[in-house]
Amino acid sequence: MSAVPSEMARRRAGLRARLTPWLLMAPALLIAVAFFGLPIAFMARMSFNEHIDQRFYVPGFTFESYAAMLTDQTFRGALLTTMRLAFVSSIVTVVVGYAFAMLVWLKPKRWRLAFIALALCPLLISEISIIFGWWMFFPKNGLLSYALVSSGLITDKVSLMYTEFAAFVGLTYVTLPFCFFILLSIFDGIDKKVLEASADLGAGPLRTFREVLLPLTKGGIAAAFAQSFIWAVGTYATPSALGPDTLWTIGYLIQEQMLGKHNWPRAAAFSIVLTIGVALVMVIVRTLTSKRTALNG
Amino acid sequence: MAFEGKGISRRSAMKLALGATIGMPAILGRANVASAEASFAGEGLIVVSWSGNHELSFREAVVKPFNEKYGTKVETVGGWDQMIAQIVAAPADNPPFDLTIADEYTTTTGMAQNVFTKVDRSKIPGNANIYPWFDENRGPAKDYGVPFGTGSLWMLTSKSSGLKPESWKGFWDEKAMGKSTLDASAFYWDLCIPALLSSAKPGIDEVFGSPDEVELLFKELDKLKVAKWYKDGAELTNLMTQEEAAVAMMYSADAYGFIKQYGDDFEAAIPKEGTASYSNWFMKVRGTKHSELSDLFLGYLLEKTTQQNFLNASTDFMSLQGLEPPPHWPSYPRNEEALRGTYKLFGIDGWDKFGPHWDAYSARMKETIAKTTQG
Repeated sequence: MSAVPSEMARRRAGLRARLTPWLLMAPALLIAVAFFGLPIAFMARMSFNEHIDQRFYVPGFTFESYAAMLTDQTFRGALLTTMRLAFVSSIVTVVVGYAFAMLVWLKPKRWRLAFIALALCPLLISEISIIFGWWMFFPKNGLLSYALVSSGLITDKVSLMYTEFAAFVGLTYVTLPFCFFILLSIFDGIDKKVLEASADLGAGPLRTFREVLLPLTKGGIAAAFAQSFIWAVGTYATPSALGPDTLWTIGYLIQEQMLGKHNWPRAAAFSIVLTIGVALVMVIVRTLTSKRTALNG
Repeated sequence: MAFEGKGISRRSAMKLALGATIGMPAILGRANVASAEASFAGEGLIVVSWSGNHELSFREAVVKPFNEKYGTKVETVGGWDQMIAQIVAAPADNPPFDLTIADEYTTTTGMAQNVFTKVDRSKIPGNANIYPWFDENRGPAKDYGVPFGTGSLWMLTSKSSGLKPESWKGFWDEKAMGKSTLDASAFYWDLCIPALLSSAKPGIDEVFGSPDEVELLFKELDKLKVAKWYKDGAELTNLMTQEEAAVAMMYSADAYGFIKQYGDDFEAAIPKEGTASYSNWFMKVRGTKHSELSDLFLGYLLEKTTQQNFLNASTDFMSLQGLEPPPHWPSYPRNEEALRGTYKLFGIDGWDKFGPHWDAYSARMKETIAKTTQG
């Protein structure tokens, strides 16, 4: 007779065990579905609508927007440009962010607040204001040219404005704080005594970095790269305002279709392709960094 | 006496009746000025004007005096090409603004999306005195708003360059090679420049011609050497003030503010060949909760004082006849003939012809930009 209640209790416990993670995840899941899932689903649906007259879209179902992309050289060029720009700027951002985060981690506590405040600065200023700042910095009559000429490093004024270099610098500046804070949180989770232990065992600084710090921060590097890449792919104002005339990014083309041509299905199709591209890169990054090591478990 | 018995004195009743008499016309939508001052006091209205210098002039010359006169809380916000999308995205009975500025392109889209509501222009006194040119090219859209003025392309040159804003040919001048800047985004206005110089068709009609005719215009643009194709007014200002460019195509919406600030070093004018233009109508947005105040504001836009005030702080041609040329613009066209001679409208019918080729022309424009840019 006592076997039945005990069986029921075991079932209940099993059910509770299976449901608990879902219940704990439910608020976050709800937010993700409401604020990310639904808009993307809406955007995906929009990309199959028709655009036949002056209206933004006509409800329907056609692959026309996607088919047009296959023959659209501008789109293919912009897709490559966007990915290249985002990839290179993300690598630079991760390298700079890593060095900066490690510096803050290694420095005494009294320096920490000042460094964090410095890293927060770009987040307190709007992207447009930052662009205006670069407009004062890069041109022939800008601060950079003035500093180089005054210091005697060059004799003629130089303009770096409207170059891919300016676009890279602008993108890196925008994404650096996000990268820095992700990496700093990873460093903060590492016991500094591992550095001492490594040194005691005879490893030099470079070997300690390669064999101790790098494996311990691998997950953070991947997360920082992912964050930086997503930002860089989606940012259109900075490369558009600082880069050369021919630096057409997908963000620019989406804006052009959405606001210029009023072709919402085409703009949505561009966005979906971009979203898929970002998702693919994220899967690749995750696959490459998912192997566990002896140090990070 | 009967009223007194119910607790209301005769004086109170008379006050009530007087109040109702004053307020009633406003409630019914046709308030006279004296009653409107009281009826609309404290009420808000959101009006979209062109973002940038136009918005600043509009706020100072139109919105502020209106609020002072009627005690209202009208505000203006800047917009450029996103207004119709914003209205469509909002609930039909709760639009993000009550009135919006709209050129022909915005109007065409707005009419297709059915986002405007009709305005009874016959009840607006100033309506009888507007230039007929404004209504001629408007089609059915003329029933949904009032014309305030006309925006156009101006030529801007730096004094140190030795160039003058006298002819559009200046863009092809040797001195302008590598020192010019034009609009990369609204590229159809760039096409209007060689069209104005061409004698093949009147005005800017080449732009509305066959793709082969438009290709000839692109070929003319291909001969330019452009310092940088700008994407917005802020970039244009930066290019000129940083001496990256010395000659520019600038919109009248920005020209007044620019010359006011940098007039010592730059000159701006409509060249002798005339200019391509768009008309600035203020359209009533469907679902507005301030319909009567919107009507009052639209009427105010066509008052002579309002029009003169705005003209004195802008480089837009105004819709009302009989205005005085402002000090900064002595050659302001003073009659219908001068208006038609100077302004070549990129009209709604023009958009009907240009629109279907937009993607092809946009791709072709990118070729032109790649061929001509130095930046």
